[in-house]
Amino acid sequence: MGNFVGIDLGTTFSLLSVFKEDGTSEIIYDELRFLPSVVYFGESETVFGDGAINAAEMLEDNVVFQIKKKMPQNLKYSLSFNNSKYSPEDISSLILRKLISDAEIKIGKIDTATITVPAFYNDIAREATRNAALKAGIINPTIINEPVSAALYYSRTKNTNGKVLIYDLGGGTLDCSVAEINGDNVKILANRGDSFGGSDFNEKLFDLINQAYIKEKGVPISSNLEKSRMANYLKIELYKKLLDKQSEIKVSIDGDNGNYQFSILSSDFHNKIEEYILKSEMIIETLLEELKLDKSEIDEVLLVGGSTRLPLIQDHLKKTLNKDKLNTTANVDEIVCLGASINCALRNQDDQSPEQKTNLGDANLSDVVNKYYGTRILNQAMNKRVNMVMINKNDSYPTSYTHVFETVSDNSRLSCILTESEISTEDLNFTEIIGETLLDDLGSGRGPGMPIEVTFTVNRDMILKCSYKDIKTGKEVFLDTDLNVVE
Amino acid sequence: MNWKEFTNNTAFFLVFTVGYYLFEPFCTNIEWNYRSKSYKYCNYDGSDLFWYFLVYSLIVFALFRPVAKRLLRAFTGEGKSISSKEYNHNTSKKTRKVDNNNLPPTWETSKNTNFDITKIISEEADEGSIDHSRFLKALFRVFYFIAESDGKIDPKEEDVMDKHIYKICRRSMENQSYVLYSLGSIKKEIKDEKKRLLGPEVHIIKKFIANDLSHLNEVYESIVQCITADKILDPRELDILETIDSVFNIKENEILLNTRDSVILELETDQIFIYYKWYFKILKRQGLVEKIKKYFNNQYIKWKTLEQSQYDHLIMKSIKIQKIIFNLRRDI
Repeated sequence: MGNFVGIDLGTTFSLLSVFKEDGTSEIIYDELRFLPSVVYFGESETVFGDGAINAAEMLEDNVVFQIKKKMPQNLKYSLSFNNSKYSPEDISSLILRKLISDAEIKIGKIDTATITVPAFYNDIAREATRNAALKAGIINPTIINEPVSAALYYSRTKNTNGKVLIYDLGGGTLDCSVAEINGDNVKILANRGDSFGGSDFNEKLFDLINQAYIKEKGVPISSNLEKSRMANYLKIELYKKLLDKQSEIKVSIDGDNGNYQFSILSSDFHNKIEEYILKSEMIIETLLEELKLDKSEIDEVLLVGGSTRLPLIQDHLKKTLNKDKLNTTANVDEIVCLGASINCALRNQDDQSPEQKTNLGDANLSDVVNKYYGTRILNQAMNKRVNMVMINKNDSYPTSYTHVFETVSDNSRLSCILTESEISTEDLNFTEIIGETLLDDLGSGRGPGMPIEVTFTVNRDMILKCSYKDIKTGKEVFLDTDLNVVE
Repeated sequence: MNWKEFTNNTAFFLVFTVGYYLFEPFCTNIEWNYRSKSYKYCNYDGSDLFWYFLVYSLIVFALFRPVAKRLLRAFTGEGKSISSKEYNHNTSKKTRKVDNNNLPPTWETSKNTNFDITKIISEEADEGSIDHSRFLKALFRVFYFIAESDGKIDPKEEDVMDKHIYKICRRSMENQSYVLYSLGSIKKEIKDEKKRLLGPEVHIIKKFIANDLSHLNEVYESIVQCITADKILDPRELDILETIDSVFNIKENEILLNTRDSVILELETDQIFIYYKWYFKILKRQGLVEKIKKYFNNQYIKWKTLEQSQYDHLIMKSIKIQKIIFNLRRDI
């Protein structure tokens, strides 16, 4: 029997939990129970967590915060430290490696783990997260959506039943999911999300402080505001928490033109983050509209993620969903991670001990695809290149769809373009290209009207795989979305 | 009426012809016998008839050339006001454009079919009193109404019209040169017109193709493309769009609404802002608060696709437009 581990790779901090013999999950990281997702690339060593935050406070360069937000741009974005290039996937793998090596001291070898990702993540980010886990030494990594993981935990520990809205507002992402929970069965109906969270609130608060500083001193806090913001990371976090409880707080900030002490009103801070509240409202409205659900049909609202502790967020949810009460019975920082280790055990049933098998029972989890996946085609009737949706959003996965296309010209080389979008559309402007390659392995020299069988598959990690088969020759090419030919 | 209008007027031409044949005989060898109510041919010979017809032809050629040409075309069934050379040139240019498209080779869905335009036209014409020619004239009148709304006809607007002609030709099973000549002729005729109305012409279009959604969508797309051809949405063009939208009842037609969006949202951010503000005002004026919410929520979700793009400029555009949407939503 191996360790069934769940890892919440967060924007601001990361956690690791393990599924125990008695069927419960436990956070097993150090006494603080979490690792800040911050990395400092020093000249001689790489420092993680609090050590990296300390380096930022000492105005060191080479400190990376919130790399999770860059995962969707993994194919294009990179950072250079000490003459080495790092993609978001590389930096995430370092954080994962740190979590695992620390945990292995306590529980032994970790080969199997479920990593959580935001439900709204694109395919590139999912694939990058999985690759990061592989690079970190996890032999058998699986991926689960954060709200799904939370729903799994709620269903097993809090006797939650009925149609629920899982509202997960973490450090850098918002996920809203509607699920039907019936005992140990969790069925996700739809997901919507956005890329903002507590760290964006911190940035707004820093803006507010900077504006006050400029008003008083005539210059910004620092000529390098980004560095200054990182240096004041912990201070800003503290002020934000104080503003939740008090209508006015005293602030002290050191800048290039000396120290400045002044007061900030919570109402000013709330005005600053109003746009995020509106975004959240739009996400919830769209999600309910998508499912043709009325607010009254939502039995319960489950809160997940540290930022849901903000009274402002809770008031907004009560108002938007017409609820008097929200479910706040769990530790909102840990639910996602705890659910992930349960999922890890569920995904690896063959490795479970008899006791674990008994304790897990008949738990059943069903999730849905979070985007529309398609391919670019030529609509000959319209003489126009359009997007054709192959996999629909909110289809349960794993799922697969096959369609036979025909070549239209004498091109000797075939190519494919894979797309994803938030809406079902033929409009190419609102699709994002997630893969584009020539299919040279299918051979060349075919004329127009030749059938090519295209199959899109979303696997159990919600990662897209495609295959292209020349029906006439029987040759077939398999692709994943970073366009590696799969052996 | 000026001289040009006089010579281009069919009625004057007919009056002249009748007059010539009635009174010319008095001047030549043919006499009118009032009793028998017939011509009396006196001293008639072949050369008189030749000179008689030659003089008539010269006068017609000198004075009524445009009318004569038009009538001749009507008799022979051929339409040609733009030279075939010019139109062949345009066609080959369009073909080259398609061939030169930089996009990689693509797939064609096996469901695609070709349409027989002539069949569609005849079926549609049977449904109402509007014939195809009237519909096409109405369409070009709308195109030119839009094109002239800012005081001048932009070549890009002409391009949109030519592209629409090209679309009709592609769908037609008829001889393409013939269809091109006919459409080119109608286009030129409408361009030469002095006065145009918008509302009645849009109603004619709507009545002719109301039951064929794909055709309606194609026509509407070209109309919106004509409006956005110069990449700027000016208030007059938006007024025109509002008139067209109210005739096409766009607020109840998701397909047309999506078509309008897909054309306009290709513009720059500042123009998209103008568009959103314009549509927001229309919906607000009509008191459709839930519709505003639904529309702008969908727009927000649409733009969010690009937020995770691999290209920074698309991410920036997406974020800017999301901000525009928030500000409008805040104003509900």
